[in-house]
Amino acid sequence: MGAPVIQMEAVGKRYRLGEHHGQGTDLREATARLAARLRGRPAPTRSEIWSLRDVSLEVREGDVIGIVGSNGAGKSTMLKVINGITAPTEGVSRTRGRIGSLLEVGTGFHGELTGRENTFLNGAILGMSRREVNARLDEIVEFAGLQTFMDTPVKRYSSGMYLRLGFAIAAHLEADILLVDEVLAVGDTEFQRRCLGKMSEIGESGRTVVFISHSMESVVRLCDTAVWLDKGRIMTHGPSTDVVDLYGRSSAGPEHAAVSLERDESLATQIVGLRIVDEAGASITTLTTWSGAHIELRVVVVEKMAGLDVGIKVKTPGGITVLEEYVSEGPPIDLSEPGTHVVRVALPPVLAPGDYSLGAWLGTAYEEIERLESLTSFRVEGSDNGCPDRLVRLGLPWSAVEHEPPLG
Amino acid sequence: MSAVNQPESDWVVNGSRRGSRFDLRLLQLWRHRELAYFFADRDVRVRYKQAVLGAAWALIQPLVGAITFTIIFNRVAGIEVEGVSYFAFVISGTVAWTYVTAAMGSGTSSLLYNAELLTKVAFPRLVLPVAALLPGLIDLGIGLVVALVASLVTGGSVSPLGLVTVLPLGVVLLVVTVAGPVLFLSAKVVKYRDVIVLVTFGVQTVFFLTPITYPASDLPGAWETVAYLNPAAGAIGLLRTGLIDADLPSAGQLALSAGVAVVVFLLSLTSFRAHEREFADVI
Repeated sequence: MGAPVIQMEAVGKRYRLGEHHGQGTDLREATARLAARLRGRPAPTRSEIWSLRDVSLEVREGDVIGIVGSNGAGKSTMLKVINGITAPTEGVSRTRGRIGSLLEVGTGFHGELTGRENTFLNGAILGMSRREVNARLDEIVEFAGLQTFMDTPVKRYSSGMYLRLGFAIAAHLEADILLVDEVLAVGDTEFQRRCLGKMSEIGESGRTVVFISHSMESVVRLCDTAVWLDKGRIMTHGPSTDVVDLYGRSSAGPEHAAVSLERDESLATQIVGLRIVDEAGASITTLTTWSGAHIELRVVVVEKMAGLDVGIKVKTPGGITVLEEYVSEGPPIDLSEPGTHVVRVALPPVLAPGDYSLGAWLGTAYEEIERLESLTSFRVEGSDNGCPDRLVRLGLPWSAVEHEPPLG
Repeated sequence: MSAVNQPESDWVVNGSRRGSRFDLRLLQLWRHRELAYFFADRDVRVRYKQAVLGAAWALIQPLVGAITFTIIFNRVAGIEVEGVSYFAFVISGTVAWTYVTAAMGSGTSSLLYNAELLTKVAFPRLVLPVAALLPGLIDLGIGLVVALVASLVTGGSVSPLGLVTVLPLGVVLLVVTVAGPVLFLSAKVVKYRDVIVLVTFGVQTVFFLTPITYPASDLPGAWETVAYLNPAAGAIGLLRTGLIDADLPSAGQLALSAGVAVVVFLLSLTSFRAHEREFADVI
């Protein structure tokens, strides 16, 4: 274990509502408060919210730690306090070494400046000297894949190019502590893959990474430990698989297995219903290890669309995809005609006991129309037969090949 | 990145209580001078991209201003200045005021203009208003050359010694004069947007209270001394000594101007330091 590099002691951060993300106060309000005070009346108070409360955490050199929690749990505030962007209301946070952050890459780019000019400016903002940027310029340009665009003003960049340059600069900062906030939610798959690769590379090089993500899969894959934040407080802190599991259980109750979705008028084609049904066709939320079920999808097609495809995805609370199946992988089913289509996929009793989330996908070979992750959840009950680690039991066929009786 | 260039063993503390009120941490600014340069460089580049006349504006602005003032105050109102053409006299003042207007404008809104950065990246906040003081210096340099040429062309005398000694002092005093209000007001703008309007209005008003279009010596009795309470008066006095060989303001007048500028600067810096921790939350 390395030496501590981040220490948070009983950190609390209070925001006054209307102040956070606000447009500031105007003089009128300040005058009103001053007038009230002069008249001896209490100034009109504003409601407050504790974005972090009593957070104590120690991160050691080389740790790769994930922060999970629902929206508004205080994850971003935590990174801002560690980074020193905002000061805590109570307690103290200490850091040692240079901090690099990927809190929204590309912040500080100026549209009129070229890629090269922005690289030096952005590098300086992140704490790199001109010499450091110069030394890494080739690597940055190559990582971003923008060799021919470095002298183009970034206002002419596509959003993907913008993002790639921003990430490349931030990732090449020689930081001792790297803070990452959900940066992987953007960009194309290929770029996401490279980002994840870069992050694990940084983690393996012995530097410290603090990683906020909604993707439990990435947290489990990249982080050794994790913290679950809820309403500004730390719920659990421990090995990432345990924390993600606990968090997953809390957020995915087994009570709403059948989902019907509001029609989104902007989509011509969409998934309007998803449920799990038993052999008799009734909605269920609990499956067993011995009886099969069906997953049923209801899709509305407004205009004829060739090559329409739907699929389902079953994931563990830890974010590991156990099953992912598409209509197009089986015998042909035509979904292209307008109207409401109901499709079913048989789910044999192969899942190990536990909780699962169920998502759905709609699109064609060229286009994703809807991706609904963790739309609902269900539970599988039964015995694991003493094998707690396996995710599926397919009942693969065994056969006796040979038996040679002992001689004599 | 508050940890840059610090020894590895140093803990950077972000606590609920701030440090001493009088710890101005000027060393921090020095360590981040390169960042200040990059911000200034950005603003200069952005201004000249897609501007056809480019740097020519730095020439045109003071010239047109000085011509206008010469027509109004010299030809119409009949103000004369001893020993030098009014045009050379007034242009030596307007180039200084052009700097004041530009630096006050960009300086007071510097934090607001970079609001996104303040809420997402950690770097010393002081760098932003300080960087905003720099781009105007290019125009000031060009303006001073224009004023010098105007002085020579209109038959004025130039003191070479004054040019290399007094003129730079005048520039330094001018920058310190502007730096104080810029630090104080930029921090106020974070909370109160109205301040930007007040600044525009205030700079216009102070223009007439500063001996730019008239010599300070024209002011009656004690008012001449009062005028030097405005540190811009001292700075312009120094510039004029270099440019048009005007008499150096008295030691008392200069001390008054310099004293006010330095005290305002230190108080403003203290106020900035007291509020900078809240910028990301309030803006």
